[in-house]
Amino acid sequence: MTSPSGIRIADRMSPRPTTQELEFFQQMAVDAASIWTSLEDSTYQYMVDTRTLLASHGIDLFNIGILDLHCDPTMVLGLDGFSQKVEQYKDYLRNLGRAGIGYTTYAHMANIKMLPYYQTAVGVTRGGLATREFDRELARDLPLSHGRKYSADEIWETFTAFICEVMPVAEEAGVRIGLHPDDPPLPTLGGVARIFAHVDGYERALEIANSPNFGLCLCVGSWAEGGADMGRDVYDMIRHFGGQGKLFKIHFRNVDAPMPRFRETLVDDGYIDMYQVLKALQDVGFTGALLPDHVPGDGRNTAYTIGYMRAMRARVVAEARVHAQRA
Amino acid sequence: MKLGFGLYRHDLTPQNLQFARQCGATHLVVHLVDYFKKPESVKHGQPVGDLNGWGVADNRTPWSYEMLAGIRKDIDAAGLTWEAIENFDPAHWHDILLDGPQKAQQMETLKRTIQNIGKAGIATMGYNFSIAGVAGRLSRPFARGEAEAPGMDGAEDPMITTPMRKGMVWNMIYDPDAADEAEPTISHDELWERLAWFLQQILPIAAESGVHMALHPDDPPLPMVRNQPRLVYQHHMYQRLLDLDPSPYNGLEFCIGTLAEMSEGDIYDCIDTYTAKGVIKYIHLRNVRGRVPHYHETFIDEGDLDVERVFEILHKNQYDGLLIPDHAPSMACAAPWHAGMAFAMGYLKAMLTSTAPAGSVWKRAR
Repeated sequence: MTSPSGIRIADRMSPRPTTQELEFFQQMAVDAASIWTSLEDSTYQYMVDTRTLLASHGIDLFNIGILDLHCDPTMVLGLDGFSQKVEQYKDYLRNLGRAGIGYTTYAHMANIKMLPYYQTAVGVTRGGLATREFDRELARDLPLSHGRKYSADEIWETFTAFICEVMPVAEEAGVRIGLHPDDPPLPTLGGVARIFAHVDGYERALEIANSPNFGLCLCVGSWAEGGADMGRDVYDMIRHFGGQGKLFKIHFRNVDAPMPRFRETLVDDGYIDMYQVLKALQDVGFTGALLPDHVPGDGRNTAYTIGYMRAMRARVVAEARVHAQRA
Repeated sequence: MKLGFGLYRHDLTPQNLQFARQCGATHLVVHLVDYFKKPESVKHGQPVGDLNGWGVADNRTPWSYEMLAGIRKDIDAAGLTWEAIENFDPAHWHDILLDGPQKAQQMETLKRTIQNIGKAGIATMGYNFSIAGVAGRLSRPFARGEAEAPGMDGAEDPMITTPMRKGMVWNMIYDPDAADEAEPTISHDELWERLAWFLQQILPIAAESGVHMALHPDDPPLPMVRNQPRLVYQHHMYQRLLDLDPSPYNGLEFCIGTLAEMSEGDIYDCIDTYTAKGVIKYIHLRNVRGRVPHYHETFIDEGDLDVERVFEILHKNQYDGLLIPDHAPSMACAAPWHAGMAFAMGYLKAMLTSTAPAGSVWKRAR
């Protein structure tokens, strides 16, 4: 399936997709898919078999994520077993590269998988859909998530150790790593510092990694949660990092307002202008994957989101063509 | 412009009303006739039938104000506006279509119905003035990813050529005891005369009641189906309807999918012409590949129709009425009909907002 621009619309698929799921993806005409799975599926054989299966349905498997090696407290907090996890990550990168899968997302949050630190209430969004709600003031009163406070310096230390170990392997394997911002983007949460909650964190990470294979998985939703505290707004982030070729992947989701309290919304029902997001991506020549991300509801609402994305992409591509002809 | 959703009567559950809102709908078009008497129809999310049509239309009770107000209450409670009803019940007006003995009596009933619709605050009554109705379509995996969708592969199919039998109209049976013989055919002019009489009768009441009458083109748009003439099967034939009566209550249920299926004419000229006249009461927007007698309905973004260009024309002519996706291919998931509609709605919402001119309220709703 060819895409009318470099922007590739993608969605998450289950680790062992059924024929029905593959057909559903074809019907939505998504260009690419991403799979989250576990350590046992970090093998070359699983990866290549799954990639081949998807390719036979015209879908490019651009990423397999391993949940055990993503936002893992051992890695983020530098606990016992850190080195073993890093070695597992290296093996995983080598397998990805060998299987022809050239991308993965990494995030460095210790407590995102602990519900109270991620969601303070179940909110309601358009059409009665249950959705994630987060209130910064309520989260302030949460206990320490990992027994003590962890400073930003400590978190930078583990990030630096990790990224310096894995980037040479990623480069050799031909795998690019996109760093996801912290969600929600707060300086500290549950006593653990969050270092990717401001544009400065990204700038510093890029310096540390110092690799053409290191860039951003920009989550529009997470960035929107932070509002004016992020240093640059979403559109500016795309123009700034996209212009440098550092945008690898985009999570295309929306929220109703920036903190102190936000609710996730359907893609067209939040405060971010998703047309301007796509326009900025087209302008900077973004060629990565664009994914809907935790869509409220079920597969029906995902179909709505993909339909929305396909029309918006068609529109910004057509406008760019007209603009180019006039110029 | 307003974005809406079409729902069949059996779909009017609180869950589906909420689902319509999830899909960005603010307005509803409701079918009150039960077309889903065959189990396979429920599976497809669309009426499916054989030579005996979609089943028996046996609900002879006219639509009362109380019935309409009850439905309206549920729709209001869901935060939606009930904009239009689509199609009269064959049981209520078969003799108006067929020029039968109960014609005058049925006309009086329809007049009262229109008054009830007006009293219930529903702005538009969509109708098909069609004897054979939506007959002869196939349902096959015509759309992307083997998705099931209606279409046509040649006009020689017995579903199209077999004469309609007596006791049927609008692809339903209104009289199961009718003689087992073919309904005699009539000329196109005679069909137009029947429509002219109907409009002459209904339009003064519609105007008085504040209800806009909106005619759907014939789907599939062939000159004849089941040996019965069709009314609007080319773009220019809509003009004949408008020429019958200049009343602002005489307008179009503008099905762009059906119009695109027609064998002649440029669809964009057609949209431009009729939107510029301000005669469109609401729009069905779906996509299609091919033209009669060989066409397949498709997903909104894969047919011959350039949906972006359609919206540019609608904005240019400041079309401010309702637009609904009509129908969509079924998708491979736990909710095939819902997902198909949702995909179309997401696409339409994004196209509507991204093509909106500067200053439009839609600029702020994307």
